[in-house]
Amino acid sequence: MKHIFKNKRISSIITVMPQQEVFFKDEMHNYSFPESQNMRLAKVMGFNKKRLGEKYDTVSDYAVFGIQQLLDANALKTEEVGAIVVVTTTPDHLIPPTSTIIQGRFDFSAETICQDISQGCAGYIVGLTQAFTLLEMLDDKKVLLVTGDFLSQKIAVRDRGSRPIVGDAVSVSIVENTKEENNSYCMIRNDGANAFAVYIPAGGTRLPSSPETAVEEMDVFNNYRAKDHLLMKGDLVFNFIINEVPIMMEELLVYARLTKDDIHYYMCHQSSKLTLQKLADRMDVPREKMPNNIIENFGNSSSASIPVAITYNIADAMTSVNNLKIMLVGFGIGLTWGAIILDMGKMDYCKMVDFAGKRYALGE
Amino acid sequence: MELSQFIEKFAEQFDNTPKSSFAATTDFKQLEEWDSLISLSVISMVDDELGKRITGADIRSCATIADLHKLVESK
Repeated sequence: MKHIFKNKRISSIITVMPQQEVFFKDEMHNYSFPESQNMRLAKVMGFNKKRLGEKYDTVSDYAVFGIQQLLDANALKTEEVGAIVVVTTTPDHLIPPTSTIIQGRFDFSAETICQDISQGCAGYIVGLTQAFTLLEMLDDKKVLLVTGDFLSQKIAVRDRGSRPIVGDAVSVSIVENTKEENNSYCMIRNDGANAFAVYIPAGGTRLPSSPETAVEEMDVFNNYRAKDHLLMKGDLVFNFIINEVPIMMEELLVYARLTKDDIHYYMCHQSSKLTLQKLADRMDVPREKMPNNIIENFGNSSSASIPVAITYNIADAMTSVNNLKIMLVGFGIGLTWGAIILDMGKMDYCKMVDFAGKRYALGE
Repeated sequence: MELSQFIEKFAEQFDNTPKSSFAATTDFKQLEEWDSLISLSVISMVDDELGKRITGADIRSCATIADLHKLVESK
């Protein structure tokens, strides 16, 4: 799809990070490779440290903490909330939707639209497009867009293909209609024929989890994982990113009648340092306009990675300057890839914080 | 791309394996340094240098560097 939305803005972003910091060098003994090869991998991909949640951390607990910060900072009023959209591949439960759990933690109106979307690395783009769509019927009400994952719980400890990359994080964005005239240009594409390039074989109705699906087996590159774990075909994903994504970015620029130089920042999903450098080179965009430093500091947090990149790299510009042209780019499971060019700036709130909220009990 | 040049580019993806270890008949998957990262580097090199897309499965189906060169040329 492609669409131009009128007069929309992101007024606040908060990213809520786990406090636990894990270093690549402390985990690399789990991989059956010589140290020299592990260090080379770390250098190329940008592995250093990452943030991981505790075992029973949930998207809703982190989102509730983040929303409370926004309320406390007067970036949001309870009665302004018109919708809660949650984008995650790691919901608290299969039933109910995580969005309704979040609604129930506050005095949000019963009229609040609650929707969960199953999406990963393109999740911020898919979620923002959904937020814009809902705003067409919400007038002065606002959308709380929650994107985030605790994907580390679904990755095998001895899987060198996925374990070093993944970090955990949850973000909350406030999306609203604005009286300022602007255009947001959106494109999203899907390639379901390659749906299994990244997937978790067991745990759904096709193959319910059982003692057998928890057994770890070795693959052709000496990585161990079970059917309960995420399986990423790195070569397919790499080809997809460096070939399909630049084509879409170029087409989106044409659609928006802008040139590469008109864009102040390209804020991309933080897949790995290697893929982001390749992407910048292919697009002929200076690497400093396309930050790639999230993997080495926080890990790849799937649908939260674009907000993490924004709050870590350009928070000051986002709150002080107005009308910066930003291109947001997401790509991953689905396979799904999407991009949005929009005006950003003069935000009420743009911060990264560590989680210090309540962990609710089961069924509480 | 000529085979000799392809072997040279292929060898550049390795850090610790001497250049003398690479020939048309080299069974590259048996090289000690061979791993998924080098496989990815080879995919990237073929894409950058020749504008062709190959997969990890393509690479695994080849025994020697000459096999891989032939496969790439046929794309």
